[in-house]
Amino acid sequence: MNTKKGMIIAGSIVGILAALSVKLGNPGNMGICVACFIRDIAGSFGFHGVEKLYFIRPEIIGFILGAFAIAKSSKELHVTGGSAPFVRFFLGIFVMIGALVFLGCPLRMVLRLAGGDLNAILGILGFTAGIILGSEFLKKGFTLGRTYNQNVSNGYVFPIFGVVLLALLLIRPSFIGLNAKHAPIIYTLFVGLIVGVVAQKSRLCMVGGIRDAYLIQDFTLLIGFIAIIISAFIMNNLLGLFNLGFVNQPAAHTEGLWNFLGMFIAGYGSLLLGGCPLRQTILAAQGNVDSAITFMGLLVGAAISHNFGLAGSGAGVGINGKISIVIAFMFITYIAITNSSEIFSKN
Amino acid sequence: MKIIDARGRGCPEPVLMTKRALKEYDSFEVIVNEHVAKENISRLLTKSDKKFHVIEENNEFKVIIEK
Repeated sequence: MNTKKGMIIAGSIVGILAALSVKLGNPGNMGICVACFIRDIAGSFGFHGVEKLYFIRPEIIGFILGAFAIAKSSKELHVTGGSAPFVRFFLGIFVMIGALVFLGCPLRMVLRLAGGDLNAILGILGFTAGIILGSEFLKKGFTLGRTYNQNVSNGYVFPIFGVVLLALLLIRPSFIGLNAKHAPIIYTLFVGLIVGVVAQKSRLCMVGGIRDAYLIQDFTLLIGFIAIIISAFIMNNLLGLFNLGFVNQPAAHTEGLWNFLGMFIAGYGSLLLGGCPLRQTILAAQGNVDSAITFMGLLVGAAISHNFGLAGSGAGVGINGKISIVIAFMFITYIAITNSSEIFSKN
Repeated sequence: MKIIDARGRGCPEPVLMTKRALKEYDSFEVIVNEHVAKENISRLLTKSDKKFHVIEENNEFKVIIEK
């Protein structure tokens, strides 16, 4: 499915299911948002205090278990790790901080546009700029180093984490918060499983789309990106969910500069990680232990974002959020420069 | 023959390493250990009209580029 036709099918499935999720009860333009859903999981564990953002999102469980099952059955479960895990953990934190200043992961960014939220255009511009800057470091030899094979058993830890999430969601112990708006669990679990399988097979990645187009003039992944926008746009219109404009958009703000910069950080950091939050989750499910660590970085980043008041809201972005973007830029640039062989000699 | 070891490298490094090698060598071999890396390199080579074949052994892929 790693072909143009496969990408059109994959992107269309994601776009259609995402629009239906909103119709069935998910928050507006949030059919799928990997950043928001990880944030809600952090909340349900009590890692932050915004009670309306507490939920163990079945979509995330589905991504993990769907991608794991398909990778296992097609012999693509390949357990590796050891490529600068601690740095990846922090990149995960900062990618989440950037995404929550904008209010959405790269996937929700395109779904917001497909729902008529024009603020997403600023996000897409920032995201693209971040990817181009990161790509320039790739040209200068940027690498976080290679991974090495690990025991196959290590690759089961992340899927087991997914099973534990599912158990907590079904058993509903009192220490788990489940307050957020959501579509029926049986449906969103199904969405997660399907998208997990489709994303694993197609290698769908928001960051990869723009990166490959820019670096190697390969538009395969970008086609998936565009297929999501078109299919979700059509579905949103059919379902009466389309609302064009900048103001009064669900879970969004109109501060263009910070929409731009939030996604700039998300794109820049994700580029160095080698993929967007969705792709990191899929890679983690198919045995990439470093991506599993990145996922945990995203989870911690979500908790930090809400505990320190960094995340954007309908009212805009506060001073803490603005400072965090500057810190994120300095950190990511430090990692980019010091790991680029043509800038910093290896010895 | 020049061997490019791209095992364990994340996306898109194997493709970039291959692209760099194409400028320097007429024939060489790239070793990768991920399906996605093999597919991406194959796509680059097909697009660049290069003759190549892939050998799979022990969960690794050798992409051999011929003149």
